[in-house]
Amino acid sequence: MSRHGHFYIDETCIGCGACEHACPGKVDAIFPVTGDFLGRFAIKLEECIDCGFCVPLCPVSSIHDARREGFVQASGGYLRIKELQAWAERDSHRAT
Amino acid sequence: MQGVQQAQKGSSGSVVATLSGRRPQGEVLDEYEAEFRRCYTRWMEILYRNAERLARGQFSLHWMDTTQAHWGPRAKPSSRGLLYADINRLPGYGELPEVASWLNFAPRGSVRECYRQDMPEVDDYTVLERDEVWAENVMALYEEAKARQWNATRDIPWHELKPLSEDLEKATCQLCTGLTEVEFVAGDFPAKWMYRIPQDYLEVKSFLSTQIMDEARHQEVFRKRALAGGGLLHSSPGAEWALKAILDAPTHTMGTFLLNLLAEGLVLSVFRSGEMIAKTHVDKEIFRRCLQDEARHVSYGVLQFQWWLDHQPERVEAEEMLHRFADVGEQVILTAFTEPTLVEPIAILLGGGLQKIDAGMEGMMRVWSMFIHEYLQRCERAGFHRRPRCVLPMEAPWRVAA
Repeated sequence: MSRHGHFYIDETCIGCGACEHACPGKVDAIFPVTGDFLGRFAIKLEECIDCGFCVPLCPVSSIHDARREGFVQASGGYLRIKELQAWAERDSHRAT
Repeated sequence: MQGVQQAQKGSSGSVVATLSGRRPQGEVLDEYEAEFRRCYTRWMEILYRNAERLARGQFSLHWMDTTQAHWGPRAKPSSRGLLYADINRLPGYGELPEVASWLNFAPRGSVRECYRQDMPEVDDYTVLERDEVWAENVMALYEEAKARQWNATRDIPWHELKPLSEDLEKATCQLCTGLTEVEFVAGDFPAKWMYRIPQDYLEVKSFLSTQIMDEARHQEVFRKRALAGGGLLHSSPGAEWALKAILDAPTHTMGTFLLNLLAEGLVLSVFRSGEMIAKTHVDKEIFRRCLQDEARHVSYGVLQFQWWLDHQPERVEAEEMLHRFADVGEQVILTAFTEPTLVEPIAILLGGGLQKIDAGMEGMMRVWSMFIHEYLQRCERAGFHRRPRCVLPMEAPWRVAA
């Protein structure tokens, strides 16, 4: 029976990648999300061993332990990109 | 000729001044020779000792004695290879001194104490406190930086770049001119401090060297983009004052706060908006790649600043000093970010053309809002309670035309 980890990265990740190299030993649970312009990272739950080593390395506190915090609603300045995206979508300013 | 004129104005007499050609070369060579002659007996004694042994046909082989060495345990790689973190687990190698006392090139963990008296010291190693440079994520960021290096010559599809309308092309080239200007200081600042950091903090120096390389690539890619689109346009006096404030920062931590946490944070906000700012897929690719690099620099800045604050014995006084510094820093960044050479091109690109610059300024207001809130979020993450004292306006300092 597989055991899943409980850590996840919310959408305020800035993509610095410090967390990617925090996994210990043979663990390699953190990966960059393919095709994401903002270069954000995610955690493969089936490979995460819940060590939590990645958490203190994050400069924007975007890594959470679902057992302690549940699934938090991300907040803060790094979500404001959505307002710009919505504005650009609404007024069709985006490059084609 | 320029060097002569500068020499007439006088100079600080520092090595930096020497390198910049402010003093006659013969004069600085005199000083260099005198310094080595002053230490003549120390290094000449080593030379005689070695020469005599060689003449006798004898070997020393003292370096095979492991009595004082941390010899034996072998470093084992983890899943991604052999990391600094892996080798630092070995006894005797991973402890960073709180205050560096080895001001030469003897590697941390080597047998060196018995040779201390015979070794020179490098006067330029002046950043002696670990807390001025260390960040909890610096080794991870170094690994990430190496893994994500890219090539501004080959990794951007330059041959697919198509001309834009004149207004959009000029706006793109002006933005690239401004970003080139900014990237210069982003490389010079870590370079200025890296050589002042003793070798015992080798992990930090390794990371800073990647930052320098990143910034070299950024100025390269923006310069190339401008020249591929018509050319460089106008430099920005307002930005220059901000850049000078960064380079002249009195300490490494203060400068890191101003560069990595504040200024590069602003640049990161612009890059993160790159999907909307860029008008070609080539430009999007440039922004996408640059933002990954920039995120690492911001990340180091936040955790370096946090580390420094957390290790100050007089935390309140330390924070107060940083508030004083931030008062100046925020004002000069505001000066830079109100320059027409920066604001107007982004507005034109966001709006979709010169005729839509007013609409673009609405987008710029959102970029501003992003920047301020991201910046204050970074300050809070570092444990720096800047929000009530921030001198940057929370809303964009301009109005949208009616």
